[in-house]
Amino acid sequence: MKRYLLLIFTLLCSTSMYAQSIRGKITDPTKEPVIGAGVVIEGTNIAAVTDALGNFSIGKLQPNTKYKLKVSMLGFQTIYREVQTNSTDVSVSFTMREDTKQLEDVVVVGYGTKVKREVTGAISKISAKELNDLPVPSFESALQAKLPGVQVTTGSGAAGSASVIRIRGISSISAGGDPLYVIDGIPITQDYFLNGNAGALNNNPLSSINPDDIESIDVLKDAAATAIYGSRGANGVIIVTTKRANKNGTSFSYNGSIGVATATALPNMLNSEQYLQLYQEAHENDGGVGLARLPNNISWDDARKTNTDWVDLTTQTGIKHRHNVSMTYGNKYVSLLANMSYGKDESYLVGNRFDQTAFRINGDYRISKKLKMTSTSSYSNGLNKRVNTAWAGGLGSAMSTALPIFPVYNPDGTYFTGGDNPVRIQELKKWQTVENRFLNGIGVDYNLTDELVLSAKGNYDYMNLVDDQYDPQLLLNSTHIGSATRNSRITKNYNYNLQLNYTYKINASNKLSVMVGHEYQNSLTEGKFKTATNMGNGFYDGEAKVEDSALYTYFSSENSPEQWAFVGYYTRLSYGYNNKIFMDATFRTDGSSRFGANNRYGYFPAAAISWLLTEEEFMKKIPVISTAKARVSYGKSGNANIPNYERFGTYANPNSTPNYNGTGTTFPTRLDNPNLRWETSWTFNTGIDVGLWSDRVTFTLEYYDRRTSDVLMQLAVPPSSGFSSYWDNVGSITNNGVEFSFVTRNIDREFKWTTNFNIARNLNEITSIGKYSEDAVSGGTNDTRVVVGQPVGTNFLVRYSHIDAATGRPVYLDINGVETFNWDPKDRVAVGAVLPDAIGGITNTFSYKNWDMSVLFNFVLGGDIYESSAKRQLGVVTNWNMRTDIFDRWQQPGDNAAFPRLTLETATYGSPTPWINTTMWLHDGTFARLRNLTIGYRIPKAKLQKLKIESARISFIGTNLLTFTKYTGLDPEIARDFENSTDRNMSSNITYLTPPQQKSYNLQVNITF
Amino acid sequence: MNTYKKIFYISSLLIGSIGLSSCEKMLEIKPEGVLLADEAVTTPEDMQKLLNSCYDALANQYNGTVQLFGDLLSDDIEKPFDGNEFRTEIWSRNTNFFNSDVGGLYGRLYIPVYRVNSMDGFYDKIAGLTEADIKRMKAEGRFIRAICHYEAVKLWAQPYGYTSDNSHPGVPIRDKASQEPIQRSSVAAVYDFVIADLQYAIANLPSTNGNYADVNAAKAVLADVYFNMNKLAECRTLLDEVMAGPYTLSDSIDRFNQNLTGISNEFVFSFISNNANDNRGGQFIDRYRSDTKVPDVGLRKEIYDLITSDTTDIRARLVGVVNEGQANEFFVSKKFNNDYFGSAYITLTKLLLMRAEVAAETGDLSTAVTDINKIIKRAYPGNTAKEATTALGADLLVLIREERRKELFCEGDRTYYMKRLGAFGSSSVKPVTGVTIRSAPWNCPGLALQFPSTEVTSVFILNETGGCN
Repeated sequence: MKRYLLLIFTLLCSTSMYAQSIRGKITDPTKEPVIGAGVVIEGTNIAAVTDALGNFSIGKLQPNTKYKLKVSMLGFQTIYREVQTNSTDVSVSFTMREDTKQLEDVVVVGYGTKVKREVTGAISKISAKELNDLPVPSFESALQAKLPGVQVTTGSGAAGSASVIRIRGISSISAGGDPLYVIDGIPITQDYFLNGNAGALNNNPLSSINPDDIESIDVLKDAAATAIYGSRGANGVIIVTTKRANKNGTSFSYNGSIGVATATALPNMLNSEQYLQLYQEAHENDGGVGLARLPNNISWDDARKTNTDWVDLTTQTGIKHRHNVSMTYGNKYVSLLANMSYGKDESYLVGNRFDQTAFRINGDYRISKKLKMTSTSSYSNGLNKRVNTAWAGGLGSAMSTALPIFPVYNPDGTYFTGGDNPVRIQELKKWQTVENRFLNGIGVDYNLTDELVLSAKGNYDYMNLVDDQYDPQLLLNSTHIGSATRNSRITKNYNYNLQLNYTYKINASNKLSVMVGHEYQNSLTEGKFKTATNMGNGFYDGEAKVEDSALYTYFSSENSPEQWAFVGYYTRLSYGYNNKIFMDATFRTDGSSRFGANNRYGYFPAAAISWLLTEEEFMKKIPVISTAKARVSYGKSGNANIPNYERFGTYANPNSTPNYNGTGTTFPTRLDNPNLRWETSWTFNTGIDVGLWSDRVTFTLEYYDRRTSDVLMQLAVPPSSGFSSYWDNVGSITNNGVEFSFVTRNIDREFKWTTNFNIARNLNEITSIGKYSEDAVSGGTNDTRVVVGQPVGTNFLVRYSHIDAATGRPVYLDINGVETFNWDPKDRVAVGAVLPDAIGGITNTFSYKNWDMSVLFNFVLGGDIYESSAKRQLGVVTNWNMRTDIFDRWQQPGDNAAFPRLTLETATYGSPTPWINTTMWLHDGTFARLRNLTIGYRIPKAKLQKLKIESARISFIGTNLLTFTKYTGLDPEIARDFENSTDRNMSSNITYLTPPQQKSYNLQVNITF
Repeated sequence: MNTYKKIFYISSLLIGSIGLSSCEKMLEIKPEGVLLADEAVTTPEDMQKLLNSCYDALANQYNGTVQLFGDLLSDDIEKPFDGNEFRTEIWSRNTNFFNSDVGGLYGRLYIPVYRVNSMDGFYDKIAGLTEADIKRMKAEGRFIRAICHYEAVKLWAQPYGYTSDNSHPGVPIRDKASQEPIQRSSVAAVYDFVIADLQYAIANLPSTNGNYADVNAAKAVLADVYFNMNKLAECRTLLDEVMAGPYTLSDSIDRFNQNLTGISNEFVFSFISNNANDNRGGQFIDRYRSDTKVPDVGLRKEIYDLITSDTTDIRARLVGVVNEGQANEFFVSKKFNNDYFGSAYITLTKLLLMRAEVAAETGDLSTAVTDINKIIKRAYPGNTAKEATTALGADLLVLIREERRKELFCEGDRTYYMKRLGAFGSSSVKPVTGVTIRSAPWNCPGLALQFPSTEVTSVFILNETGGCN
């Protein structure tokens, strides 16, 4: 205790007692003060930190002595300067320049950090500033177009929707194909299907991560980088590091934004008059006489009197605002960061919003020279006010079964119930999903010697997801006053790791470091379901139930718990020679509870080498090349992201099975597969990092080849076997491609212009599916299949050829390419792919004095969009409304039109069913989008001093402002709701009434005190 | 403590902790709320529960689902009112292998088959099972397995008699618990398999077995199999044996319109409902019920007119007309207007109709008249003019066929009956040729449902496509 009191006393009394001093001011090239820069007298422990005005003072110095000062600050080039003291104080000033040396960045690797110079693998990084300039509903979508080889398809316009991220293509079919997310050391809970796809929205496990908390995101792409995560690195690893206090003193900052959200596009649906006209035309085309019988037995008189614009009624201009207050405090012993955020994010869907309240405290405690502790604590509360979307209703209804001839209200003011009425459901139904999440961790580093550090870390990720729905009497048309349901899931996920790091400088030329560690992770998900009738409100209102009535019923059940565990042992050996050649050898073994004892452990080795060519004499003769580094790596990583108990054959428990004839039952529920094993990928990667003209131009070029075998697939077995599916390791997949990125400082004067560009091309191919057919695995109802020689997520469709000019009927091609009027699924062929040919982005950043502007375009080249709902909006006339595109239809012999003749008869389309998948609805997925436009103004310091404000910046931020595409549907960037992991892997880029992305305009303020 | 000692101790601690946490048991996490396969069936009671689940699974298909398929293909049902694409496709007699209703039923018919086959692996492992238990359980299993294959071959294959030797493709025969893809057996082989199972059941089932299958149930089903094979003598023998049993024709025509807490004396084999929460008629109610909603499917005017053509026919109260005389007029069944009921698999009504027809075909007009008049007297109470006489001669068959249609509409019987007529009607004593079902030839491709795409392998042949028109 005495020791701590002394520490505190020392802190409070830390004033100089010497008059001889060096005082100074540190500014950046724009003359703005650099706050928090460290000034150290080399070879001593004497140091100071610049204050809010950029000033520093170092006292207790000898007169007439020459001192060497080192001035450093993250993001700036370090300055070394000799200063001579004399009999009085000395004043100096320094101008710090931005550090553009690409090799000196610190990047996060698995279980540690490295300067980029020493990195041997393929790692990309994004900083907090880039996140801050892009207000996104969920942090992962801010990665879009920023990093080569990282494909981000932002979730739909519904609040809280999940993005789909693919790193260098996809290597999985039924196992989760998303990268592993590690936040401050814990692989977090990332189950997208905790709530299935209720309301056409999957759970987004990342939505509760506060973007304002994030310091940096590092994306590990090749085996050298991911193998240390062994069993779970095959689809890449995204490491999120949260902010920490990194300077002494106290500071506050406030970030706030306010904005509006609209849709990037809205559908043009038929109005009542148009609908009636076309419906009648279809009736007459089919030989009908008189007026057609309208859907839902609506009379023509009533239909003509009604003209409801359902799209208008289900959409709005959403208002959003977000506020973040941050405080940092630091001294010699303690560094603390506290962050508080509140945001309200209305989407453009009426009734839909996502509110988030988040708190974080991160601490670093330097207890002694040898002992250091860290803590991270965060709490987040996310409230999603839900509405139905897509196929479930809302705007989806407006695009389909809510016909313009249906009114919202009857003449007596009651809701119309004679057909789909999304307004009625939206106004009456109460639906909310609340997620409470705690992410906490504690770590200890103990320096056993100068070279040997023992680290221990423990993390706990607690997630409580509660979904409440309430349907009142008016919606149910029930005798009781309403029914409530609650579906709750609690996931308790913890891990710990113990690690020894040994760094040994053998001599001036040779450096060695060894890391060995052990990790254990366990996750348990439990759930409850309850439902009751005669409820006055949802279960979130405890006073709502009306029990004293025969109408009250109550039922509850507990879901079977889902639990998994991993045990891992890992080691990394790093060797550096002359600061120019670096080698890493990594080995990890993981055991998973998802596999039986015979295949429980997977073994994941990797090796990598990099050579910093510019450290060689021969390269110094080429002065234009300031940096050149070559890298090669090869290694293995795995995937075990499958349901927890698929290896077990199971029977239903008689206690929970239905009775027959008053007697219990039991029956097999799952086929066992005790031989399930890891899905594994071997990846070769080579790359070169080059800087020219003092790194004014830098670029990176990478090539990779990833070969995945033992692909985990949920296979459809012949239904005559008595089961529908089971899991097995079948087949193989390859991904290979190139990535290219560059950064150029085009103009670097008072006016600055920087360009950041990246593009990636990935070739994905299924090389084997064993003995199974294309239909053994399907991407939900989206007609994507597994086809050998084609990519994962191949559109497997009957080919549409043209419209027969004489009859107006669609003509297809059979399996042999022969034209036919008959649509037959046996004629399906591989005709498209949901994966794009190339992805990328370009960011141009300009600054002049206090102004700055950033323009980010993302682009997708190739790949196909399957517009699955169009077959109902533009095909056979049914009880769906149609889009105005249908005006361009065949009407008489000889017409050359975009769509066949109108018909109520499915036979006209050559099929007994109206909902047939053909290439008529397959479109080129190429697009480019103005993803982000930011215009910022930094208020001059002089104007802020009176207000005691260190810095202030105001900016306008627009997202998704412009889209360039030939796609005729709503939005070419599509992440629809998915049925399961297989669907998520295979059916991105397929739209089924999917709400388009959000376009937003925001005003943002950043203030530091 | 010097540095090296410290390193040694800390490393020992680290390695020790690694060792502790590496216990295999940390990774041996078993599912909860279910039973693992090797511990689920270990007692005679477990076996009975497994067998009971076979009945349960079968009952869940005979709750109106199987019957609806037969009806949709027939000439009794109008195009589905609800526009459901899968049901409409069945009605159009042009199913494709993506039709999840069709594929779903197909798979669910084989679920009891798997369970029955899996029971074979337990008989010699479970202590306490008596020889009598084993005999009964095996026989009940064969009975269930036969019904499943019989139903599958009727829906997914062209009928018996489609080819002279019945070598045309039938359905897969599953006599082992296996996931291996197998090919379709011929219709002849499937019928042989069904007959063998039922004969085994007849030889080993008890004479009474509560609400479960007994020897008469197996005989009745086998009689129906022979009837569809047009093996009239074998059919007649079995019918005579069953009908000598304790069955009496119900006074009520409302076979489905009673809160059946027990079993009607008319039922030879049925799936029992004990209460509203144990409803074995759910799909009948969901699809056909017409008193509380517009049903998903309704009757064609032809069958409505047939049933209501005689005002003394009390079966008219089992049908109805909505919006009569208006443009949006439609016809409904009222057979299933109740909250719950059991589902009759085979009844005395059907046996009477069957024996009447077999007797008429084989010249036993007396039995034919006696049997059909039991049906007629119940349908036309007091109207003796409707009763049949032997004087009708061969025309008696016309009457029997018409009564069959009136009695069994919406019970999934019509399509198979018409297919049988198509296959064997020309050799009848009252020949019927050119049989069509809603204007489609009885043997058109679309009258055999398409198999699900996931059944397709290199050894599996799909049904012919192209529908019926």
